Amino acid sequence: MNNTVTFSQLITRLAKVAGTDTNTSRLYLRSFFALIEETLAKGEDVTIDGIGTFRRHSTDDAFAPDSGISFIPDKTLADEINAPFAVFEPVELAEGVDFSGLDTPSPAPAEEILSEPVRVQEPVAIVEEEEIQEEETREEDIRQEEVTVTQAPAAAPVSAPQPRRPQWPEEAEKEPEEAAVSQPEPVEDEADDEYYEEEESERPKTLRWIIYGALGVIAVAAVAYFAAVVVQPIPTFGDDEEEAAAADSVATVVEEIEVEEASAAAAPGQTEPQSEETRPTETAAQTKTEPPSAPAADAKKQEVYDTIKPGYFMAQMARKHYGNAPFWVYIYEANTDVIRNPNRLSNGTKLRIPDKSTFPGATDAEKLKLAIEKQTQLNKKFD
Amino acid sequence: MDYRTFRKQLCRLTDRSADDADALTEGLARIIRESCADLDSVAIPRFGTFVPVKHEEEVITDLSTGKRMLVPPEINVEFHPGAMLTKRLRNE
Repeated sequence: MNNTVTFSQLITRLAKVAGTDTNTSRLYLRSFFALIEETLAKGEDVTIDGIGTFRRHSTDDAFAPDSGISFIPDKTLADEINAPFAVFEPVELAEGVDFSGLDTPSPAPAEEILSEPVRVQEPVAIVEEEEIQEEETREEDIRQEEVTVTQAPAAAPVSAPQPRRPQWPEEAEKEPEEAAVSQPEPVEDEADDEYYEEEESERPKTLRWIIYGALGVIAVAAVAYFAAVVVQPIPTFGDDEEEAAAADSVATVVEEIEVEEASAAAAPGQTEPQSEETRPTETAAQTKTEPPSAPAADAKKQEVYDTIKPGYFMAQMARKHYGNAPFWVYIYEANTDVIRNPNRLSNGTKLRIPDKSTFPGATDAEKLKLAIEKQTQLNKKFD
Repeated sequence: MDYRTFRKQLCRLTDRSADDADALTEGLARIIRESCADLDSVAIPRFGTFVPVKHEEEVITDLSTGKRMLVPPEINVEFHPGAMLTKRLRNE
């Protein structure tokens, strides 16, 4: 339908119909139409049985077509082409018949219309089959629009399209019953199904993202706990501000001690009487306190231990036990069997705290100087 | 020119008998009928195209009586002459 039969197809078909070969058909067709053309060029009409009449119009004819030629189909040709419509005849319409819906016929089934007694209804059915397909495509478009635009479950139901169909007198009586039977309104259900399918497909996505978020939070918390509790960052001495402040305080203490010793050496006379005065008392006190000093010495001999805790390392231990942080080096030396790297300590490590009297150096200032020097060496060694 | 004269000239041109010409002409008419009934056009190069045009049923008003008539559908065969034929006919 709506195709074009080409000349080669025409030759093949003619050869088949007439029982000749294609060359014969080709030559005949060329001669046939060339003769028509020649005749028309002479200004004559050509009538061919079974095909029609080619009429040549003069240039003076006001109703002539632009091409100057018209074609009147032969009656046999016209009758055979219109054979499917031969059963129909022009019908005189009674007054009051409404044809307002004829241009947009209803999507009613073709069988229903064919059963009508009016003779004109068969071609109407042929036309309506095409219209039905268009109507169905429109309905599908409407469904898709409803689903996409109204994103609410309680959306207004899609109303079934109200078909416009010609109101035949007999048919108008049957209309309510047929409408009740033949309109199950499947459109609304399908639209709802599509909506709920979309909603159900969205739920797992949301749940999945919630689970991912929760797992991420748990992972971050675990990493933070591990970093804060299990692996303690050990402050390196001499690097941070706290260590610098401690070193300054140590330097000031050392200077004060040196100043006191220098002043004591510069004024021996003044201090000696006092010392002499105090000596008997001191000796007396020593003699008096000697018996209790023995158990105290025993107590001092008892070894002292301390444990590494979060935020409590050897420097803090040294400050606690000796008053100055740089003495941590002696704690480290006393526990080299337990500690390999002073920058890497593990919580719960029990360290022995050596007695301060065992530190090298005569005075506190010398001990502190030596401790700082040793601390510098260790920092160079382990950094 | 009627068909008898046309056939005579055609037989002379193609060197064929009248029966052969009738058979071929009838075959051509049959092909055109079948094609147009299927709403297919038949194109003849340098000559023109036979085009079937379908008119749907319609309501017309008879001007003489003033009554409305429902006319059934109809297929008309139109001939659209080709450019070569049109040009030649205008020049003649």
